[in-house]
Order: sequence, then C-alpha cells, then structure tokens
Amino acid sequence: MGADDEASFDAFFRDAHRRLLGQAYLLTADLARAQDLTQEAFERAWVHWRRVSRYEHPEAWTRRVLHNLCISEWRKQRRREERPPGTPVVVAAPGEDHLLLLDVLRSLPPDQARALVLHDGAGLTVAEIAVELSVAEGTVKSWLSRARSRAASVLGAAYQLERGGC
Amino acid sequence: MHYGDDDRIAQLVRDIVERPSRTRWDVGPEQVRAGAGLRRLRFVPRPGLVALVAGVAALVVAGVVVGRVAPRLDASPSASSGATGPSHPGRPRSGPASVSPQPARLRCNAARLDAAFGGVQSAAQSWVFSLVFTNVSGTPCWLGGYPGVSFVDAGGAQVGAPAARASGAEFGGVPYAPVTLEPHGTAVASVTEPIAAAVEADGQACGPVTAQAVRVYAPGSRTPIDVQVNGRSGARANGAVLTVCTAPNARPVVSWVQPGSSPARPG
Repeated sequence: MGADDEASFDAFFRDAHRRLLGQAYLLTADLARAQDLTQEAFERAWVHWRRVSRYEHPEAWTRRVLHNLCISEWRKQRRREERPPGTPVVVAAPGEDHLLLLDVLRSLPPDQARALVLHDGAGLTVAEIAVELSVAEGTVKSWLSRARSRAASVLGAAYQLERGGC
Repeated sequence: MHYGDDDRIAQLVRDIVERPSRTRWDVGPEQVRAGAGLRRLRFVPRPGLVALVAGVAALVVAGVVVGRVAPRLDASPSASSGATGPSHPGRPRSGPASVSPQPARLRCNAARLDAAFGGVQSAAQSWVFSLVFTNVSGTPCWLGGYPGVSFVDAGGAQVGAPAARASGAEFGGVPYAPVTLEPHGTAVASVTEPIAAAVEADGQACGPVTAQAVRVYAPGSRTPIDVQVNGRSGARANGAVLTVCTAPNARPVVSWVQPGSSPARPG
C-alpha cells in the first residue's frame, strides 16, 4: 500500500481511535485489554484498508470487528471466572457510578451491552444499530430497554443507599 | 424506573467512553501498521504467495522455538547476574530493559514471560524482595504497571492479603511508563513485606502462616505464575519472605515494573 493509503489510514486512526477505545473499555471493563483489542481491530482495518477505506463508514467496519473481539474476549473471561488479586488500575479514579455501570454491562447478555454501547457510547440510532447488527429494530429496542432497566435498578439502588433512604 | 434514568445512563456511558482518552500513553497508527504487516501474512494468503507464506511461517515457527528454548536455558544465570552489578556492559540482547517512548507492539503476556525470585534484602521494618520478569520469547514486548502479587500455600490457596500497590500511582493518567523487553531482557518489581516485629509493634498479632510460593500475575495478565523463593539469598531471609503475617496491617506493597534485573531499593 502506498503513501496515500498510509496517510488516509493515519487520519482515520487519529479520528476514530479514542472513540473505539472508549467503547472497548465499556465492553471489557479493563483498559489494558481494551487497548490491546482496539489495536488489533485497527490492525485488521489496515490489512484490509484498500477495501475498508472505500466503505462509506470505515469506522463502522472497525467497530464491528472490535466489538466482536471484545465480546469473545468477555466470553472467554466468563468461562475462566478468574481475576487476579489486583487488576492494574490504569485510569483516573472512576466514580462509584462508573464501576457499577461497568459491572452492570458485564452482567448483561452481550447483545444488550453492545446495544447500549452503540446507542449511548457511539451515538448510533436504533435504525443504525439494527443495520450494524443485522437484526430488527424491535429487537434493538428490546435489548436497549432491558439493558437500561437493569442499569437503572442497580444505579437506583446505589443512589438510595447513598442518600440513606430505604 | 424513574424519569431521567435513561439520560443519566447515557451520560455515564459517554463519560466512560471518554475516560480512556485522558491517558497519556497509547499506540499510534505507525505501530498499528507495523503490527498489521505481520498479521497480513496470516490473513491474505493469495495463491501466488502461499509458498512464500509457508516459508516465512516456517522461519517464524523456528524463531519461536529457538526463542522459547534458548532463553529458558539462560534465564537463571541472567537473573542471578543482577547480584554482581552492572559488570556486563556489552552483553548483547540481554539484561535490563529500557523505558522506550516507542514501546514494542506486543504486550508481554504470561506465555512470553518467565517470572523469578530476584533476591531479598532487609530494610527498615521490612523485607524487600524482587520479582524479575524475563522476556523468554523471540520478539520484543512491553510490560507496564503493577504485577498482582500474593502468597500461596502448598495447596495453591492464597495466604494473607494480596499486595497493595505502592503509592505514586497518581490517578489522572497511566501511572507507569511501558518498559520494552528485548528477547532475554528483564524488568523488575519489588515487594515490601513488613517484618513480624513491625506488625506487632503496631499493636496487632502477626498470625504467621508459612507460604510455599509467591503467586505473580504479570501486569495486564490473568495467568498466574507461581514463583519459588529460593537461591540467591540465605535460607533465613527466604524463610522470612515466606513467613506471611495475616494481620490486617501486614499487607505487602508492590511497586510497578521498572527496567533492570536487580532488587529495587525500598520506598
């Protein structure tokens, strides 16, 4: 691939990297892991860049690869159900809410978590998510609604505890 | 569900998405392209290239085998050479790693690493021992952050509390610089463990338990490596390392990994 390809890829990377890393972090709850997977997704995008760069939304292609990587990673972890005594904390001290939400996302079925990340994290509409995941809009809505109600119940309970309520 | 919950959740999700962007260090597109160069051999095996790919793959496999076996033979002498100080200035492709602004592409995972006990020193009110990580693969990789450290008994069950992370990890960014390990290269983390007398002087009973090994998770890795505490220092000091106080105030503290192979100074 030529210098033009490199330039267009680099521009794409700089534009999309932070967003995709943030989404991967949401789906893995582990920044180091998220960085590795994001890098891998971009590597794949570069391998196929001739083709991917001609797509209307190269970011959507890369995002799909990345979310798939995150979710398969997640399944592997669930199977292992093993965490080290201390997973390195590598980001600014997250608030209680953040940790709770990351926990909620990890407790959800992957499709629901992914729908929430695409909608609220990537700013996609329900219709766009339906296209990206090849499902009906109604399915997306139902995933979103279940994810939110689960998150709201966990966060709501935490809020009530904080306020000393019942 | 209350009205406004959806908005609050959406805001939280956005906050979390933006959070990693506050970290200082990350890969650039150049590293991604370089990494993809290796990957392409696997992904695009055009008919004309199959023979070439097979040849390259054979070389890669050979490299991996050599990289796996050779450094292992060398691992112990390499780790113990730290005790004699920097007397091998010209030793090729070995010894302490460097902090690099352009880290290696690959993270050093458990498969690429060997962890070994690097000796113990006594310090004020504590024992300080080091854990030496050696890159036993044939390619450079990077390591950064804190290892997970705890003690285990003969049955593999955890003894005492896992090590806390040393202070200095101010939040607001990645609290470490990635360390690049060349093949055979080493990095070290030190663990400070309070002596029983210090724990008791603080008003708590030590509640000593004898551990069998130090269980180490390399930074970013979920695969445990059990490190035997032997060699290098006297039996007394090694025994002291493995005599773990179970009192709540006796938690050991681990530093993040740094270049080098010899025990870091306490603090």
